Formats: sequence, C-alpha cells, structure tokens
Amino acid sequence: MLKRLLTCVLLLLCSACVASVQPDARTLIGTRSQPVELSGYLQESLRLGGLVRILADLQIPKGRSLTFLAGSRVQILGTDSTKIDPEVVAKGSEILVRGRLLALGTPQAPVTFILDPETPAGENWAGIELLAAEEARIHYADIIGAEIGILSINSQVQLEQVNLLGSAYGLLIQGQSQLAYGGGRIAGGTAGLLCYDSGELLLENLQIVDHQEEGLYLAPNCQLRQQKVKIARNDLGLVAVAERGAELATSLSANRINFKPLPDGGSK
Amino acid sequence: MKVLLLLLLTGLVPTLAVALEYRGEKTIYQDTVWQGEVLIDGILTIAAGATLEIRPGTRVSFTRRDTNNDGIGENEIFAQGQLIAKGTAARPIVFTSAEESPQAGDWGALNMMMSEEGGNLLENCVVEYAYRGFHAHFSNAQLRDSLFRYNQRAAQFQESDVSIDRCIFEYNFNGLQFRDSHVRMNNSRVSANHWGVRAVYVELQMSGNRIENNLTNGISLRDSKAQLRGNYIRFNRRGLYLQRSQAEISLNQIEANHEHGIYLEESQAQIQENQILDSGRSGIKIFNLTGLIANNLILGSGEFTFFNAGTADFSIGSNWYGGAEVLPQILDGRNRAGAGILTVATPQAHPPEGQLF
Repeated sequence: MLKRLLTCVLLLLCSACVASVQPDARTLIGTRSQPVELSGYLQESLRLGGLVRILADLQIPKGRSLTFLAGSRVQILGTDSTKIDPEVVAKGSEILVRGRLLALGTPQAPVTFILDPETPAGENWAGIELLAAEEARIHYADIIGAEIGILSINSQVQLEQVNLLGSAYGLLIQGQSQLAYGGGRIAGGTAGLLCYDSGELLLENLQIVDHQEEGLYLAPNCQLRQQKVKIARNDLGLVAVAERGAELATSLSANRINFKPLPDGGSK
Repeated sequence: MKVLLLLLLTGLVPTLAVALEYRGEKTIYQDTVWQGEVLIDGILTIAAGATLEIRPGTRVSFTRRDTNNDGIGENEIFAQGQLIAKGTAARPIVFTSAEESPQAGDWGALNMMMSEEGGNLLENCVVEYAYRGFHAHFSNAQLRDSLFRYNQRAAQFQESDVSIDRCIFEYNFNGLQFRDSHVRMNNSRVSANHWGVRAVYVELQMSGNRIENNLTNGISLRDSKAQLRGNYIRFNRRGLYLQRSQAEISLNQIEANHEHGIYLEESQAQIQENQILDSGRSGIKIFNLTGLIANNLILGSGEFTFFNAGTADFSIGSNWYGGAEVLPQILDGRNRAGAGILTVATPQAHPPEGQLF
C-alpha cells in the first residue's frame, strides 16, 4: 500500500515536472579544464553536466530551473560572501531554490554535490535550501558535507536514491513541507532527519545511521508514513511522541538510546 | 503673517511640498517638509546638512526598478543628512511600494549613510515591501512605535547607534540583522520572519521584547556583548543562540522553541531566573561555556535539560526542574565520547522566586 502510494506521489511529481522543465534551457557541459561556473542569481534556466563549480551563493528564482544532468559533479566553494539575498542557512555558500532544481542522476552516473577543494580552511558550504520551491527533484545523488544537506521550508521534495553524507544536519523539514524519500542513506553527521512544524514524510528503503545526536526527530505534528526504514548506530535513534516509537520499533537498532519519547503535553 | 512671508522669502523656513514626484537621481539640499502623497521613482538623496521632515499621514511610494535583474528594487531614499519621519498612531507615515501587486524587495531602503548628526527618527511609521526597510551605516537612529512588514530585511545596519522601542517586525524574510553597532531594543516584537534578530560584534540590550515564530533562530549573536532581560522567546527553531559572546540572560521566558531553548558556544554567560519551557531538543545546550546557570525554572525539555557538546566541564547551579526530587536529564561526557562533564547542584526545594516575565 505504502509502496503504491509512494509510487503515485513520485509519478504525480514527475508528471508535473516534465511539463515544467523549460525545453529552451541552454545546456552547458563543464570539463576539468573548463568547468561551468555559477554564482548569484540564476539569470536563465540551464541544464548543466560535467564539472560545475558554484563559486558563492546561488539562487534559483521563481520561474527558472536548474537541471544537473547524470554524472554532474557540483563543487561548491565555501565562502563567507553574500551574493544573494536572503541568505538563509549559514555563512557558507548555499544553493537557494525558489524555482526548480532537478538533479537527474542514474545508477551508473549519479550527481555529486560536494565542497570545492579550493575552499579556504574553516569555510564550508551551507547546503541546498528550498523555500516554497516550485519543484525539487533529486535522483541518484550524493550530497556531501554541508551544514544542512537539504533544508525544506514549505516545499515538496522528491528524493530517490539520494545519499546525504557527513552534513551537520542531513535533512531539515520545516513549515508545511512534503517529503517523498525513496531509497538512500543519511549518514555520518550530527543529526539525520529532523522534522519540525507539520511536515509530511513518506520514507521508504531509507537508512539513517551513524549520527552523533539524533537519527530521526519528529515533532508531534509531523506526519510519517514509512516502510523499510533502518535507524541504527545514532546516539538517539528516534525522538518522537510515544506512538511513533511503537510504529518504528522494528526499524531501531544499535542506537545508544533507540527511542526517546517526547514529553507528553510538555510542561503544562 | 508678514513674518511668515518674510521667512519664506528669505528661505529660513523649510519648503513644504505636497503631491511630490521625484524621478531619476535627485538630491534635497535644503531642509524640506513632506506631507500628503510622495512618489519616488529613482534615488533621492538627502544631502549632508539638510533635513527631510515627513509629517503625519504622509504616504511615500517607491516604484520598482531592477536594472541588474537580481530581484531587488533599487529606488530608495539615501540620507546623508537627517530624516525625521514622525507620524502619529492615528496618522502613521507609510513607506511602501507603488506597484499594483507589491512584493518584498520592490524598493531599496530608507538608507542612512554617515548620518550621525542629530539622529534620524522613524516614529509611528509603516515600512513595507522594501529590500531593507531601515538600513544604516555610521549613523544614529531611533525607531519608535513603527511597523516593519513584508520586507526582505526589516532592518539592517552596521557601525551605528540605534534604539528601538515598541516596534513590530513581522512577516519579513529576515527580521533584524546588524553588526559593529550599539543597540537598545525594548518592548518590541519580532515575529514570523525567517531569522529573528541576528547580529555580530555588537553591544545589545534587549528587554521586554517578544521574539516568536521565526523559522530559524529567535536571537543569534556572535562575538557580541548582550544583556537580555525580560524577553519572551518562543516558537523559533532555536530560541537564543550565542557564539563567542558574553551575556547576561535573566528573567526571560524561553518557551517551545523547536530545538534548544538556549545554545551557547564558547561563550561566557550568566543565566539566571529564566523560565525555559518545552524546548524541542535541549533546554540548554553548551559548548565550552563559562559562567553561571542558576535559579532558573527548566521544564518539559524534549530530550535533555542540559547537553554538554564541548570538551570543557561545567558546574550547573541550583535550578528548579518541577519538584525538589526531580533531577535534570543530562547528556555529557559520561555518555558522549570526548564531551566534558556536567556537575549539577541539588535542585531547589521550591520554584525560584523573583519577578519572572
């Protein structure tokens, strides 16, 4: 049932985005010697492949789309500069999405988002931020070492076979966001997936492992449907209201504390 | 009457302008008074030495001009002289967009540059749809009883001396951000923005404010000195986040923030007589803190009452956790590799006395 539902959601999202991808977007392929370089406000919709360097904050405004083709390697230079407004997550470079972001990796040629090796010591990249984004669809991708791998605020996010690795926070869901996450791993950061406010999560075939703090944090109003989720080797496996603990009991293993229930009713 | 006529002829009273339009790059060189409707279709500079006085009920509208296509309007008021906008509660002064479908960033800012003499004033004003509602460098300003809404950044300033009283900053993308400034902020509300109050290298006094429902942090300070007293900080992602700062934090109510009520990194703080309630993750998270945590009431933390993420040990004073026998939940070096140890004084026998918020 859940698989069918997830498939329906993915199909619906896919059909919407097929219509939305701008066919006249230019295609640019970067190479090691001549990478495509971007920063600031995206002035036109683009389809990018090969080596892409994002040299400072990048914003995809409403009405524009940025597509990373299979095999793209996206290197984000960590800087303290502000090239767009508003900057959201942190002082590092960020990819801020109000329009459309597509990363169309394949099993043979995933898309990689990673810190640029020329980043000065002490700097980092902030992550991918979706602010009421028109579309966010990431397939077969590795998102590595950001402050927040993906921050979704009031957005619909579709992730398929996405690995969020070594970010302080892997995925942070706020506002009225909807997340459909089918396949992949959130691993090796401070915390894995945190859902505040009233997000809706649809998780399938997902591993949330090896975090210094929480694996999965669900505020009381977050809705969850899940299947084949594994939460292991985190400090706190799951933090949520009591009924979620029962629902996810078989998903939790080898965390220092598998389940930490949120207080019932708070201080009142 | 004869005296007034004589003064007008000799230029000793300000020019009174009604139904004005300023198009292109214009400069006001002499004292000027606005009343009624004013349209800014360009950049209007108030020259050093000149004062622009805006009277109650005036509506100042800015057209949108975005020459570099970055989504940010460029038309604005640029004050090197003095800006005095003093409305009344019944007849506020409105600074707004002239567009039919206004949006944040339609116009630039009420921009004050090197405007230190005499001070600038916004009182009983509404500032909306700007990129930066109030923006200042090397300036003095007072913001009173004014509403900043629907801006990209409600207020942004640096190297300035700013006092803020009874203002509301709501539904902006970011609330207030400032650096290298002296700021006093009292009895104001910062709500429903992404960032609430965000500052670096500042000396800040805040009392009696409500900082609530901001998507990121309520108050974020780095490399700053702050006195935070009697504020209500709730429903933000983090309530109060200090990095490399010194702070006195007292008599605040810090409630139902999604993550930590207070998070202090490499800071020195005196945290006393606060109520820290229903934090989603930790009540207080510290990373190499020095100072005092005592006489607080801390209840309902989602994960831990205290979380030591740093390597330094810390001694927590006596607080109230809901009962004389109730102990705080702690995460520290005893169950987190490499973290310092927290020692905790005996809980108080009764809730702390004192005038909590």
